[in-house]
Amino acid sequence: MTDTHEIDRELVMAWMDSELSPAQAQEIETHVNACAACRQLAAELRDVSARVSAWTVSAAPASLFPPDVERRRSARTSWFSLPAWPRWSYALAGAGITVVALMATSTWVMRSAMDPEREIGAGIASSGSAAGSPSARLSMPRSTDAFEKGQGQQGQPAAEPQVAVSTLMIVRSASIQVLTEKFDEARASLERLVRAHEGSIAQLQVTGYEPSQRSLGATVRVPNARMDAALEAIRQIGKVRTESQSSEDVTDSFRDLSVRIANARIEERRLNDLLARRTGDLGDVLAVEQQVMRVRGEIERMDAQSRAVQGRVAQSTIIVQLDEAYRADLATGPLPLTTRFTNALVDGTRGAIDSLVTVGIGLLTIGPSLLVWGVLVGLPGWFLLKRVRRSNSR
Amino acid sequence: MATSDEVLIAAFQAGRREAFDEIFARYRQPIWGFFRRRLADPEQARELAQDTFLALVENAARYQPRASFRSYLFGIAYHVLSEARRRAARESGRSASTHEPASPDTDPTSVIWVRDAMADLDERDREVLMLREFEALSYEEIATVTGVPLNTVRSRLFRARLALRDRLVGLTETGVRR
Repeated sequence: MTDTHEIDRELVMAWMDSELSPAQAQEIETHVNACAACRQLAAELRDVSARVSAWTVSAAPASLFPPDVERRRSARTSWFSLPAWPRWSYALAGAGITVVALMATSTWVMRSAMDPEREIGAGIASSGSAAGSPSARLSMPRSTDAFEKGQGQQGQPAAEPQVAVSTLMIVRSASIQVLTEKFDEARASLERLVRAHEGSIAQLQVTGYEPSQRSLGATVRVPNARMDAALEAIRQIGKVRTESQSSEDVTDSFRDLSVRIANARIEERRLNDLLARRTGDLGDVLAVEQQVMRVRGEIERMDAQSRAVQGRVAQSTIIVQLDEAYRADLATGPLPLTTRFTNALVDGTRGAIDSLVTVGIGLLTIGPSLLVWGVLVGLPGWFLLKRVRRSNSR
Repeated sequence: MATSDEVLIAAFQAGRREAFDEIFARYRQPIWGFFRRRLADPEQARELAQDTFLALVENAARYQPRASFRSYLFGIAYHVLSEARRRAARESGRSASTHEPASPDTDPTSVIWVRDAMADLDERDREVLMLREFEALSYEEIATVTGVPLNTVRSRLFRARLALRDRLVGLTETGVRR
């Protein structure tokens, strides 16, 4: 059926989408206002868009985190760099260099054939070897430092955006011990810099009291990308006594875990499909349901492991030890002298009472035994002794 | 007034890390939604979204202001998705253009119709429709991302919307899927 409408209906849609020039939009709007069919079409298309827009998705997962830009910058530095020229310029330059190299090489070959003992010129020898093959140089990967200013950048030849098949996952941790003379200020500085680097203090403990030497131990968590900056800031708090860093590459284990999760999901889908068909007796169906539950449990457990690993990668751990510098003080201690004497008097009195109680307890403990054995042994012995004396007196 | 995307990417090209953080914050959800609607596996969608931002970091210097940054970024995402589909097709032997509608994350009754209706569309029409309705790209931006002429974009979009309209009319009249 031929559409004999005077206005292309696609333009009505484009007008609805505000995709026309002002003049064209005015023309179409005038027509739509006068044409019931086009008004109907526009209303229907708006309805379709509204219904399609109902398809919303969940929030992006927490495991979708920004890539480590700083690491990308530092990991791909090179002594060689190329500016971001268009592709054709690289191709033209490569072709030109290749032609020059071929001409120079052929000239050298011809001259060598004519005079084998002729010394090779430095310019001819360097044109084809010292700089490397043009194609190899143009194929060297670009450094992410390309957006930095100055020399030393490495360019990337013309290529579509690279798809990173896997991301290196490193769990980083560090420990640092700092000595400071101004303990309170240093503590406040530590808390400020943790907040400034979007981190958190997982654990904190302070020991000691003024005027004695105090010490602070804290476990700080900061985003992986902020770890180096946070460490540098901590070093500025005081004098660094010890420092250590470590990293754990969990890329392979995480990849293995992801593969296991994917395989488990495939298995789950197959079991669900099998369950949907509902063939076999009740026993078979129950067995499949049990398998589904088992696989689901494994998936959830592995998902939790995966999230935990990603959390460890995303957040680095810094163990901070902040020690107050020792300073000798004539202060007598935390308590006044009178309090200390009073405490000593009380402690001494308590000690005397305790000693009397101890003796009394001891007597009560052994007393009954002494009494029993005294009766059992003493009485017969006393009677025996009395008889002996009586017989001696006769 | 918020800083434009083009200013932010220029700042990032100049070496300012915080500019990329702002870009990431703005496009984290849209890029996630791009992949989530096109892939059934949310983990794969997350991986490809991550790959997209990685590719942006590694190729930020290649961006030229003559095109909108939005189309540049979704162009990267579109390429990442195409590469993933081709790779999957090579590994499984299926067609590279397989559409895997994601499970509905919101009200299932309202989006099941959308998901199933879009699965029946021609794949090229569907992609243009999704870039317009969900990623809110202009006709010109869609043409840049997909590499087809602007008039072709308009025709595919119109065809897709008409097909959905007809399907909706069929649902309204009969109450069941045609």
